[in-house]
Amino acid sequence: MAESLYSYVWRHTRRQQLWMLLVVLLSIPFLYVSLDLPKAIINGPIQGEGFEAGATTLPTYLRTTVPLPDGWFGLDEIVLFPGVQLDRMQALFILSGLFLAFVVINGAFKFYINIYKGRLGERMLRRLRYEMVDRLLRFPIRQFRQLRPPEVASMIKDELEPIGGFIGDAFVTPLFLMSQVLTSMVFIFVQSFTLGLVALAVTGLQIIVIPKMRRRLLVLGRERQLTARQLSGRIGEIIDGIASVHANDTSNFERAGISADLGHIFLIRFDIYQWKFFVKFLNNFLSQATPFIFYLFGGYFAITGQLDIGQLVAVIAAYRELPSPLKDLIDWDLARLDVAVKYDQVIEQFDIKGISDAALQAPVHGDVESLSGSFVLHGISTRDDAGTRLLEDVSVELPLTERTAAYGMIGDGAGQLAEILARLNAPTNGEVLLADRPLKSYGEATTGRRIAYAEATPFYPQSTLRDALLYPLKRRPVAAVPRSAGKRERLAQLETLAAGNSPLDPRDEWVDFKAAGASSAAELERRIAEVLKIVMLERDVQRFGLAASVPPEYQSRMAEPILHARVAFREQLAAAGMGAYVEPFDPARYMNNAGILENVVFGAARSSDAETTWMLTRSHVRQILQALGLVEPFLAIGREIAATMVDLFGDLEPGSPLLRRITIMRPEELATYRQILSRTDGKSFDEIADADRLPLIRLAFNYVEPRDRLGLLDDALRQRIVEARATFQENATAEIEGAIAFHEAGAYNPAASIQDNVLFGRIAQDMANAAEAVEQRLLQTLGALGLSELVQKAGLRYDLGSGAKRLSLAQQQKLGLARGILKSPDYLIANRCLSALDADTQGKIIAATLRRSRDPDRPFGTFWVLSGADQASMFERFVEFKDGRLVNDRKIEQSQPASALAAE
Amino acid sequence: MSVLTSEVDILRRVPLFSGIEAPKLKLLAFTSKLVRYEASEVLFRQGDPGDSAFVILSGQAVVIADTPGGEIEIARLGETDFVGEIGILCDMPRTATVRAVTNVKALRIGKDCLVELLENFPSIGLSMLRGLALRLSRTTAELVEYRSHDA
Repeated sequence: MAESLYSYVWRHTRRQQLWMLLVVLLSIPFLYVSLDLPKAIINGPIQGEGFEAGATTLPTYLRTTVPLPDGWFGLDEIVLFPGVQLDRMQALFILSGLFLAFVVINGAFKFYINIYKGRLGERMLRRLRYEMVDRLLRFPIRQFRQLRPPEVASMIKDELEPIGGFIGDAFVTPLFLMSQVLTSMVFIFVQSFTLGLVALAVTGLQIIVIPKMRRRLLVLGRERQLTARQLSGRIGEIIDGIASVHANDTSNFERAGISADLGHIFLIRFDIYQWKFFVKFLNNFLSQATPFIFYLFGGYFAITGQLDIGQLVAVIAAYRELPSPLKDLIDWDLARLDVAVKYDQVIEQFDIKGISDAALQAPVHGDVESLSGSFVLHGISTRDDAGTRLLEDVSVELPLTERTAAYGMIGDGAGQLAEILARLNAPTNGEVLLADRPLKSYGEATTGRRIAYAEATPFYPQSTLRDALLYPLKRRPVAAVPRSAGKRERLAQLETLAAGNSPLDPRDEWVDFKAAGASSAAELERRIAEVLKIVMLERDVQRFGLAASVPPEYQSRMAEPILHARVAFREQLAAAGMGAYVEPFDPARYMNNAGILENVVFGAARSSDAETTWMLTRSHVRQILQALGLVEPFLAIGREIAATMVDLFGDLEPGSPLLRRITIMRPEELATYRQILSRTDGKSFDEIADADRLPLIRLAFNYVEPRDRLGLLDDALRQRIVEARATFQENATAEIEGAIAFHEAGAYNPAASIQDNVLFGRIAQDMANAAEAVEQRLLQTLGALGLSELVQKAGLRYDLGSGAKRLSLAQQQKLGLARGILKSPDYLIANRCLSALDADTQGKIIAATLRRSRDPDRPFGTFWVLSGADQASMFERFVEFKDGRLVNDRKIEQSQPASALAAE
Repeated sequence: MSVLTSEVDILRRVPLFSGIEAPKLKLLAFTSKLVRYEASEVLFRQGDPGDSAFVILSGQAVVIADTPGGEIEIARLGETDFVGEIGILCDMPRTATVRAVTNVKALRIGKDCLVELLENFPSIGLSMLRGLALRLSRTTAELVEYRSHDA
């Protein structure tokens, strides 16, 4: 790819560029004629030339000829159009009409070319961006250690953009502009050779001299940047060394230094101004002084009869056409320079040695054969970038059916070996064979599907839990999702191909449930349940599910079972003496375990976009509050909360993880509330502006007493809020009823979470054991009613947040292992993939995973880098690494005690 | 006035936190969770993973060790007592069970939360370190005394 911008553009857009060229060429005669017409109009019908009294024939118009010098082939000219004879008025109307038509035609040409150019540019921008990402996907893994993600992203996003914009202009613009210049020029020459020479001389001067001067401006600009950087460095030095300046009386020396720097900068900047305005002056002068020559000499020729007035006017008009294309041409040249530099810079970053062959990642449709045999490693050594030895001469055979435990301190080599097996690292020396073939010769379709890798710091983009879990099954579209073949759709497909992008469509069904060993989509759910259990993520998913509303596809048939569960659960809870653990929804009582707004609204938002619903409700609620005189006490509560939060968290650095502990507002709102507090400080209720009231009331709305513990509610206020609840429901508009599903005793609430529906109340937040005990019973009840799958499905809709921030590291690691197992690999490479868990839990998960690996239908071997040697006893083989060497390799008798294994 | 303030007052009387400035104690109190236990409910069980520590705000609890010979009561806990801190600092399973004797109100300080506080304010770590060191020297002194009695 390390080719120049022009050869790249030519390679991909040859045909389009040529077509545009053709169109430009076609447009030239029209431009020429539209220049010629004014002369004919002025000389002919207006001045009456050819219509003089006594003239026997009417003049001929629109005769089009190509003049030939010196009578080639015995002809003076080639006649393209013999012309028509017109009388004076006819001539005026027809010629003027023609002039208008040509203006329209010229405009249409310009329009077409601009659109075409724009599309070509956008297409090429798309191609360039796609190619960069494509290359990124093929970069050798070690390259990523040197990459800074925001830099790469901004290169692809921002720096390529002007290049894309330029590509449409690469060939056509200069030719188009040049053709305009030439047309005008030729036109002038045809009218008068002498005036043509004058115009040519002036234009030549502009084309040659001005770009040179502008380039000098670029150089100066770069110099200015350098010196400015030096200046800031020098100021920094003065500040850092201020003690020695004072101690040595060298302040005047520093002053002199700064003065010299500033002088240097001044000279450069002044130079820039001089050049800039001189160029401007020259440019203006040349284009404005030339008419002087035309007036003088043109006038002279006209008076002496060598040139008619129409010709002179036409020449001057044609000359007026010259400067703007000329200026554009010069600008284009500058843009070309600029873009070529940018292009080279970006391309350099993406032209990397060792980039893998595109064929290794080519999409493979159909199934991939299972692997059998062994990993065989011969004399493997690796070094890191600094040359430190990570692995030294390791030779080992790892049968794919064997379960191997690897152990070593971090950096001792076990993890590195795991990375080599997973192809995330290439050995510096030695050879890795998989099933008798070099590992690197396999396409990723084979290794990526048949080998699983779980690591300590998995990364998840923002998605649902389900999407994250099924990610490894998305290797190719397995079924097309039918889409209406609209015009937009066809255009999108066409453009995708034209830009050389991947034709695969992410909207198709990509989840290959067969790859998970499931024969149907329904069985996939069972497989998912199975792996969630293995990695002990089951409870978390169920908890997410309880907090979510019933998935839409289940809504219609859930009302009855859920009401059933509600009754059963109530009985169970009462029987266990846990009545105090749940605060029931009671229209006549304040709910301590819910926020103030929820207490007023007493229902759940129907739309998944809860934010909008609340926004809508808030204003209605505020009207009710206004009527009931509750705004003032709420404002006071809001102020108290804001003051406490600013007091507690105000001094923390932005981005501090402690800020996530603020539950009542978003951390980034702290600054806003600080300002509101200072604006409203000491003001009475009436003096506070509406804009400040709203956020404060919103804050009060979120207040949950047992959670926030600021002691802001008393019984009287609680009572008034319950009254507001009744008023709110009575006055609910149709809009509110469409947005909110009110809690009603004995009714299923489709908008509320599964948990709220079954409990018909809230878990007491301050009862320490309540959540655990209630959840457990809740799941039991739901399970007994056959609703476990519903809870799982709802739980899998959980949004992980960006970078999976809404999962703990332990959960992230469990998820990583879960999706490794879910894809039913032939071999699982686990690289300290449970390090965030306590040893006990790790042991349980490893045991469950190994049990699954012995499933005769879908067995897999494993290379498991352990965090501690104690767990090795569950494996069949134990290898230990120290200082990059394999120091211990033995078979394990299943009953052997773990403590005897570690070499120490 | 607010519940939070009274919590901070109690935290200030916990020896391990005595060197920490009031605003940081307030942050600690706010980021912890207020939990209530009814009599005979368990705060945590021996062998459980240690993910949080507790400061007793009111009520009484008892520390029990499960031994092959049955339950042994090790200590009684009351207001301002701090329990379970070893577990969150060392990532060890609980070494004993703690059970409420009366209704208990306590602050539960989560492991992540304490770690974040320590990372943000090293001074908290220092004063806790000082508290732990004091406790260690006291234990050592007791051990010396015990040994000399033994001899």
